[in-house]
Amino acid sequence: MIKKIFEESTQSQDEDLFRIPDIINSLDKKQIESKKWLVDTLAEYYTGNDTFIIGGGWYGLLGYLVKLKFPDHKIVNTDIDEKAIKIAKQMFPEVKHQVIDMINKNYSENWAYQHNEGVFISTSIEHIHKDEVDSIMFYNPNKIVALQSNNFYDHPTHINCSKSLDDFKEYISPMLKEVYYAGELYLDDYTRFMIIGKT
Amino acid sequence: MNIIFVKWGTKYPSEDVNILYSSLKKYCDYDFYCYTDDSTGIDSNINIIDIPSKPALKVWWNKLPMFNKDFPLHAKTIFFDLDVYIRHNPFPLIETSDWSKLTLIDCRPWKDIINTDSNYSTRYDVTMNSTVITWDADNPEIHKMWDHFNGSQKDYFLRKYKGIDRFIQHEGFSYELFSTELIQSYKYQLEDDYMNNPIVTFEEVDYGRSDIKTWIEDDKENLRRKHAVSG
Repeated sequence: MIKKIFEESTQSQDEDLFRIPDIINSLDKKQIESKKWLVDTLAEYYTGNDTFIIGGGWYGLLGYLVKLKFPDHKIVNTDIDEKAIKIAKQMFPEVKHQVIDMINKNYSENWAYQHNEGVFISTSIEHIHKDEVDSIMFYNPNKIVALQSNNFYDHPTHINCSKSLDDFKEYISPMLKEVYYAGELYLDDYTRFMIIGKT
Repeated sequence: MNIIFVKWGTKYPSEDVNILYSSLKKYCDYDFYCYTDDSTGIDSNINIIDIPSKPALKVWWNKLPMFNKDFPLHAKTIFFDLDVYIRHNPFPLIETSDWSKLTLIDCRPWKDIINTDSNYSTRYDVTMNSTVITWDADNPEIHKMWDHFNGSQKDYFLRKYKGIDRFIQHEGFSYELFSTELIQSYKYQLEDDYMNNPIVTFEEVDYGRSDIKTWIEDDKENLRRKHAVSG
């Protein structure tokens, strides 16, 4: 994929070379470690056959790891960024990819209710305002959810970090009917938090 | 005419807003505004515009909502960064702006200096700087910048660009540049090169340092003496 973007950049000045480091970052060790943690833990709590919806799935790594763990399930990786989804389709063709704004209120009417049981996953909660996290849970009723955030405050896109696992639980738990799991994963310079529950 | 400052977080105290207000107010009778998440301590003559909780933005990215069509300002508007020192009246140079366009600082004179330093190689590609900006807040062309930023690629832009200057330049928005006589950089234009410009920017400098405070006081005293002699 990176080679393709670079080669296209030699033909067109419009090709965005920042996609190259961005894709590399999406596949780094911490991304893989934290997403494998989610998939392995989720497998202990979910044994159904429903669709997995991934919100804010970037270039599709999580969708791919879910597919490896749940090969017979339908996996839908979504992101608001049309260009990211275009790249994800080429990188991980095993997974269905779709441009969806999971915060938009039309999401519930047009899309989420079509998958009204199953699993909703997002490892991007630190990017989403708390009110909007609440809306997303509302738009995804009766689902198993696996949500990740972190305490990595020093990043311009991280506008909703949590200080600790307790802090994360404190605002996520009221949005859920049940919490099955809450845990944390220590990475080199920050900690990732995860909650698995049911809306 | 509006003059606006942006204060987000704790990097700049309200005292900086008040000092800048005082140093500009003596040259104009315009309306002053501060777009901030914490108005504590800000002079009551400055109108407060609260930063909303959504969309949540950090640091300098909070300059971009000024270009939203729903931002509560109209007509000619001048923005100043808080880390500037006003030496003398900047308005004769600022008011020559083409108000139908976005106008920013021409930082190419600093780039000539920066280019000799390999540590700054990543900065070569931006030739303007948003320390001072003028625009017409009712101009739909200006609103397009906010709409473009606040769309489906907002997080991507936040990862890609280190600040709004690069966003504006590399996303292809058109702009004009002020005369290079308007502003000088404390860090990159050495004292010998000072050309008596009305504004000094302390960008990339901790201007709370005692040596800089002393420099400012000395400069004020020199300007007073010069004014007394010429008067």
